[in-house]
Amino acid sequence: MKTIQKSLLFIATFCYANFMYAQDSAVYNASRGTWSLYYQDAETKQWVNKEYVQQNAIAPQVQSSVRWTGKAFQYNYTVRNQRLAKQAIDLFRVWGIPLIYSVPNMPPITADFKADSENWWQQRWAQSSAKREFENNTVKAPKGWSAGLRTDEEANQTSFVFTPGLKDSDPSGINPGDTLRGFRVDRTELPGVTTAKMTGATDEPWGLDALPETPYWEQKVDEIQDLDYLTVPVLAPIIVVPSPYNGAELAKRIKTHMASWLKLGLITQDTLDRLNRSFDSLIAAQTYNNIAGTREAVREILQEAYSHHRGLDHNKNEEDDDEHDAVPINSKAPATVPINRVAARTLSFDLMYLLTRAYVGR
Amino acid sequence: MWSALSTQHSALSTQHSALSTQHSALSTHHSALITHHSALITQHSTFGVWRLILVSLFLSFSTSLSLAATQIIQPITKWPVGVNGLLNSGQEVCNEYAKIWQTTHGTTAVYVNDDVIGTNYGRCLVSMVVYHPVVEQQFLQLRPAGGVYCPIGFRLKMFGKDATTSNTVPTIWSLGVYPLPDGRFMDIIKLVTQWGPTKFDDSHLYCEGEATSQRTLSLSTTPNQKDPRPAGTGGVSTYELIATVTENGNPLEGVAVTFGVDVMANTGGHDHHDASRPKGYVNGAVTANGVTDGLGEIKVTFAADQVAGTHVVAAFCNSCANTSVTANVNVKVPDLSPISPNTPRKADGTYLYSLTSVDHEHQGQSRYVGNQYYLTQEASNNLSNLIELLEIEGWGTVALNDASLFWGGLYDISYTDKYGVFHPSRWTTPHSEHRKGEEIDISFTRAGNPIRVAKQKQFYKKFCEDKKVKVPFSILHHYKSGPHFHIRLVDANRCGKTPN
Repeated sequence: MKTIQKSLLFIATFCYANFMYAQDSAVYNASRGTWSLYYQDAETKQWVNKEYVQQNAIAPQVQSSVRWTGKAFQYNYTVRNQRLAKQAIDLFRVWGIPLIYSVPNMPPITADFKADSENWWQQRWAQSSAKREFENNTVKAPKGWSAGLRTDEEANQTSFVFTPGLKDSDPSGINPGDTLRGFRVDRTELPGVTTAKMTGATDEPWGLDALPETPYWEQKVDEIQDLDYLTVPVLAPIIVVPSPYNGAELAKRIKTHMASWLKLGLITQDTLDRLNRSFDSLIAAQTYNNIAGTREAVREILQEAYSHHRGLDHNKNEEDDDEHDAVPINSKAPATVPINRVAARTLSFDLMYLLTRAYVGR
Repeated sequence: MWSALSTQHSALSTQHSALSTQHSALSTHHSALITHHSALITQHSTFGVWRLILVSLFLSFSTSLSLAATQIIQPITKWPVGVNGLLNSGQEVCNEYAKIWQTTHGTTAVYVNDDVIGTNYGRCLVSMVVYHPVVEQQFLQLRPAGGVYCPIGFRLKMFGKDATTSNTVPTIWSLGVYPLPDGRFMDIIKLVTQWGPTKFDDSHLYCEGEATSQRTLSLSTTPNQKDPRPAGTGGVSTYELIATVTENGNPLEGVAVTFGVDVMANTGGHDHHDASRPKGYVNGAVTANGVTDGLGEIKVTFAADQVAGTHVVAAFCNSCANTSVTANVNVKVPDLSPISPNTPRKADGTYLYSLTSVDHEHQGQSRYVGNQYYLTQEASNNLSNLIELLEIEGWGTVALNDASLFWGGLYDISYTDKYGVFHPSRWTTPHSEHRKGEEIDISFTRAGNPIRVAKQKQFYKKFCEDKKVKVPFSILHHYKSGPHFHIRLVDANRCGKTPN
């Protein structure tokens, strides 16, 4: 009897501590890719049984390429959804880019919102107009899709967001078996590697909104959302070319960016350590304008990068063969190959750029 | 003999002359006071916020005068209770009268200030323009709580005449004044309307008398408090007030004080009012009692309800010269500002957005400068981002519906249910949020921007992922009264995950 009492007390204490009802439940059905959610609706107080369909039943492949147009680096992405997918791809969001952009000629907001909200709104629209112009010149989407440039100041992040348009004639996504070209970004930064978030179209993407705001459900939502998308490595404008140009500084920036690949599962620690040593040589050589030393360090780095990927050389750094389209990776797990192929291409592109400028002497 | 009589007469004449002069001076003084009182009350009616200050000024003026003159003027201590709650002035008495007349006679023939009932500007003009043969039916009695009260030692006066003499007021009003056991006078107002217009305002009805006590009641608020927020909007919803009783300037301990709360009509963004309007509490109840401490003070805590608005906390002290004082408490969500009604035009000449709420009971000055479009700065910023994005999508003019009210709090819109039954605004949902200036509805169907149901999931995801704002917002989709998006503009964290 005492044991039962203790058990009940434990359950009650546990439930109270987690602000959950004993009936609350979230059960994942792996074969269907769905969650069965049972919870009390906050408004109606009725117990609700709801199914949430995960948005990850897609099979994306992404080919990213970069080329110099004479004014900027043009980044192009081709997205394929393989036949085995069950959902159409309705989101392609290149994220994880540091906040390195500022909108030119941005008008300030000087009006006080509380005292003069009318002027505040008008100044806000003026800013909006400037931002839109910048955005239109930077991010472009294929027909039927729209492109956005999202900045998150607190997270120090920029994203390029591509989603299907809202017109009736616009597609609902990239259907299984289809390929879509024309996702494009024009920027002056050299390529780095980041991940693109991709999701599939479901009937109720808002399905988690109505869940109670209790610690139990906050944790569950977190867990569900962790599995609710796929990430694919892509080239993206990340490395800011120093102005005035400084080869040693550029090498330092590439090295710093390379360190971020470890967290994304794009490189192993061993490979990173080896490449870091070569980068140290490169930085030293560039500091003293030592062309021979620069060439040798670049050779070492590229040899390491190419050695893990069949058929990869500097001819492929702008655009790779179709069969090497990037596939989803688990960006929370350690790398499974010494260096990801997209990362190797990035090194190739950036170092060939550095080497070229070293040769021309400016 | 004649000489003596003449001398006596002369002396009497001189005395009479002096008395006349004194009488004339007093009359002038009295007239000035009434004018002053009238002006104060007019301001009070127009600017409720200043009510306490004005009344306090008036009271201090009256008190200082009492040292020089025997007779002093006091405002009415308590006005009648009408069908819609406590009345605050002669003007409201007139309005109440007009409404009751309209209800009982089924006519719109009663006008207030030459305008329809409900819009008046400080003076009350009651005119009968419909012939009615039965005089008694033009007679109205507000009772039993319809009396107006004068403090102890004061008499009710109307048009300068003692109101105890019934029918002495020419053809307009008759009054019956009854002494109460506690020494005050209560009047039952009888309004008899004669043919032709008659003006009436607070300068015509007042208390006059001799103060029997220099005991003074005052009501103040604890310093450095913020306005209490409507309950359920987060933050502090309480407010502390202090009633103080002094006698000849010294704190007086052990004096009984009673507190009560009322809420002003048409405040907080609500352009409708009735007796069921929720209001705040003092010390957790409708009224509170207590006695002053050694500092002559008694503190009460006002607690706000869900509905925003200006509340009037009253303190009553029967043994004080001024038997009641009031303080206004504004229950509000701070720092809300309206969405601009001046919509920018797009390149094609169409408007970027439009204000399309059909809520007629919270429109403030007009539909387009209404009380229903208030947001915080952060929410406004995010809304502008969202509108910008809709423009990029070529979505047409964005139809903005209800946001939050002028002071936030419960937004009690009227609605038609699924059976077609209309439910007027009665201090309840269906707007379950819209209380903190952080949410807004966007209509699919208004302003010519329909969106297919099949596209709503793209709409949802697009703004979750591409919101371009610092703090994520989520879009909750619902269909309670027509297809629309209910948008949480701040602090919603279930809008897709951003790991890095």
